[in-house]
Amino acid sequence: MLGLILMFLINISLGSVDIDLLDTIRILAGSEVVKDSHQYIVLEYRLPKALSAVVVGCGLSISGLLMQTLFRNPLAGPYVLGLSSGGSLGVALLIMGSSLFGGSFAIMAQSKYAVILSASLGSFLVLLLVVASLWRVRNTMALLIIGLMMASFTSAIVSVLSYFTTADNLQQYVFWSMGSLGRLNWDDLIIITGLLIIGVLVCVGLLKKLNAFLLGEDYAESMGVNTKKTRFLMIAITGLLAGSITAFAGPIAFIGLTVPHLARQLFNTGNHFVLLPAILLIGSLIMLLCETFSQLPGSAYMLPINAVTSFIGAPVVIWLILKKQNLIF
Amino acid sequence: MKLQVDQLEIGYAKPKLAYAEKLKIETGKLIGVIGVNGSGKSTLLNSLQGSLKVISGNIYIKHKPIQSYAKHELAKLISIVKSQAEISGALKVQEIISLGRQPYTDWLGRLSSVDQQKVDDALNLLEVKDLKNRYFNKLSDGQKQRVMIARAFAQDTPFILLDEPVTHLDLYHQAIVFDLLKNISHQKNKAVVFSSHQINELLDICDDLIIIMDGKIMQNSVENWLQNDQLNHLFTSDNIKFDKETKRFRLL
Repeated sequence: MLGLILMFLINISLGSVDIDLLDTIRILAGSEVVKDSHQYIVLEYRLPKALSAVVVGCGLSISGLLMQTLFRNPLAGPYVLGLSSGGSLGVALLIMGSSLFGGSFAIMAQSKYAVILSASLGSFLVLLLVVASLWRVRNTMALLIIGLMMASFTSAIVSVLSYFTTADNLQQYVFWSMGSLGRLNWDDLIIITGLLIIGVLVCVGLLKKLNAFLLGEDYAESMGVNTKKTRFLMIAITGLLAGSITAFAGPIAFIGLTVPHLARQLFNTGNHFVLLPAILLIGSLIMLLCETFSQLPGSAYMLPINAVTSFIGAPVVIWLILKKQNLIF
Repeated sequence: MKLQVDQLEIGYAKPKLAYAEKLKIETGKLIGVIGVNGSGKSTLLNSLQGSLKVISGNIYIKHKPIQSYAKHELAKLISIVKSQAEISGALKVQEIISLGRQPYTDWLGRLSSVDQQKVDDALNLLEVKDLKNRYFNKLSDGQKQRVMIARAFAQDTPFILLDEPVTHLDLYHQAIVFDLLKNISHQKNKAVVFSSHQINELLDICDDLIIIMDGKIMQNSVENWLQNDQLNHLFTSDNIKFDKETKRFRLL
């Protein structure tokens, strides 16, 4: 917890403009200001960004944990529901498709909210398709494969679009697909924080049932759990959290997959009553860490956040496997 | 307590897989379910548990159809042990057995002293106390099976349904599990229903046998089965014969 607060402060104090830690704390505490520009940078840019990192880290970690428990598969994450691929498709169609259709589309593509809207729509539609297939297949493993195929399919469409689009549009799309927490302003932040709070509350209500799910749905059912309802809620929360995060911040890889594993390793348990607080803590910490790295402290350059999370996430997963010779859900 | 079945047709879709005129499952009895592969043993167990819709007919507990019980009520009547299940490896034995208390605990899953006592009883009875802090994925097959039976026992239901509980076990561990099942049914007064291919052993230890043959599900006491000739027809092959003298099936 202390580490989280410290990381939070360090994250805010670092950036292309040099503001020292004490000044940052002073600004946050609302005491007398050294420089107006510093106050503006901290309050209007860095603070929402750091808070976004916390909310995004928490939201993606919850989604990952729920998907791993639902699919009883250690490699599951929010992406298995096709959320980020759906979001990417939506944005790709908006940005790159607009040049093909021309006209008012091209103007719309420039608006930030058009991007958010199309990402949400894309995520939602793909999620709907995956969930609709739930009616036909009861087997969760089959659903996992459907989710992965959906991701391949949408990325194929994106490839085709990229091939035919202009260099400018392609660049714009690639920028979006790299993710950024800096896109969120206070209003956006309030929306996703609200969704996160809803997600966490529903999740707390489900904790006991999630533990039953660790034995499989048949056992859960035999212990009195309404598995259909629980499964629906798990998917709904994941869709809500991961979908909105992708819409606002772009695709962010590996957090949802890695954080639950780190929590299991650190606390040596699969018990969701321990795991939920643990992933909220670890998720925010890791996301802040990635965000701090992405600013390349001391320089004016920024790395794309999606690349940084993969940089850190992928080796961590490999390290966990090498250490335990296994990954468990 | 009794679980009764009346003119039951079971299967995943029409046409039915098997039909039972009448079945009566009483607490205090050890009941084996026998049938060739694909005859419907698992289907029968799933139907009795209520997780699989029956095609027609009724299953009653205390003269009330099981569909009329709420899920959490049914969870206090029937517990199950699956033949294969992927259990999270991140759970300790004690945690898994404690999960058996879910139908009784509050929304936070906190164990009362009664719950704790039931968990301890299960740990002792199934002789898995030494394993209680071990992780599930570090156990041998025999240990895993005992843990899952302990979980069902901790659920403290009058009916326990087990799907092939000894299939992956060697002879020694089979004997241990059979012995435990017998204890649970006779001493703890539970109805233990389990399917198995170890037909010879079942003839020795069970009170009743439910045999599924040619789409018919028939129940009889072991003595009655031994007296009539039907056992000889269980396998269509001429290479397997039932020997009444030794009460054994033989490969010719």
